[in-house]
Amino acid sequence: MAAREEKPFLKRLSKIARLSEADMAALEGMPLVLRTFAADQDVVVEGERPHNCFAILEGLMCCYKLTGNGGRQIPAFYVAGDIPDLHSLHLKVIDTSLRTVSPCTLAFVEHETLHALCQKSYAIASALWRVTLIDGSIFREWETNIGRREAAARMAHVMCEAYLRLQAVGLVEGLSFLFPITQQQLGDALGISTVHVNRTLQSLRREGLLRFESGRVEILDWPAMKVRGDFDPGYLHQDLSDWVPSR
Amino acid sequence: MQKYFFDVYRDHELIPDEVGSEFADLPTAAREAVLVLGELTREELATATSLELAILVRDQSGRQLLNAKVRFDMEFNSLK
Repeated sequence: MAAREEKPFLKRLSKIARLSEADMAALEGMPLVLRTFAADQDVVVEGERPHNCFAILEGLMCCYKLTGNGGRQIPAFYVAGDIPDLHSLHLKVIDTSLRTVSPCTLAFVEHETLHALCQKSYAIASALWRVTLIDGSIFREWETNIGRREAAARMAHVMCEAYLRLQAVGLVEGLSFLFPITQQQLGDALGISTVHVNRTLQSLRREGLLRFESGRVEILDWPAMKVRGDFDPGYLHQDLSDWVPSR
Repeated sequence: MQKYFFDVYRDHELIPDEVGSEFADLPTAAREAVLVLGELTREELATATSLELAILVRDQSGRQLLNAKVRFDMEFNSLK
């Protein structure tokens, strides 16, 4: 059984919810099935009816939707500590496909187990609810980003977000982090062509804001990046001061 | 897959592509050039009322394969 520090979802949950030691112990004791996936593998496909959820222990994932003529949109990325299909606990037919971007280690937990934990602890139920609400908040922010910001701002915004989400689970080194994604996948996430992604990265680099090389991102100027990306981290709800559940 | 370079000329100022992108063949790269021209035109016109944008696609050896151009002008008609 993996120790607490090897389960980034415990770290994530403790950052977005106030959980008692008993709650943390219950979450830590959940029976998990660990599976590894190579890069570019579907883990769950739209239309399936999963009987379990998974948390990312290691690696980068995305969800994606396909249009009728084969166009692909990536509405979100998921990093270690995230539970990308948590909504399948209540919405039985999964409405998006979930795919590995890099090689991943995933921890699967049965829906039954989660339902039992939620029934025992209101705080755990609230924490899990909060995970899906924050996922929804991120989707709303991305829709705004893609619909209303120009390409360089979109890119800067997504990189600022990736940095803060990885920082929350201790996966950054200074202002640098692993983000092993292709330019095509970035284009599918930002709604721009691959060549435009390339140009945008080059221009952010010329502006002294960001370097992206062989799967590693280095933010060169954090305050300037936030301005460039029109980035306000409020939508990530990483601040616990508004946490209320105590029943 | 082959590497193609998409140099952009904005009002005759060269913005060179130093990295390049991989595509299956020239028709696919040409399709990409059209997409990029559309995206760049839209972005540039947010702050300009006239624009000349060109994309010159070359291969790794520097051979020029394709030249695509967009020109935009806008004039207010004077009221009579």
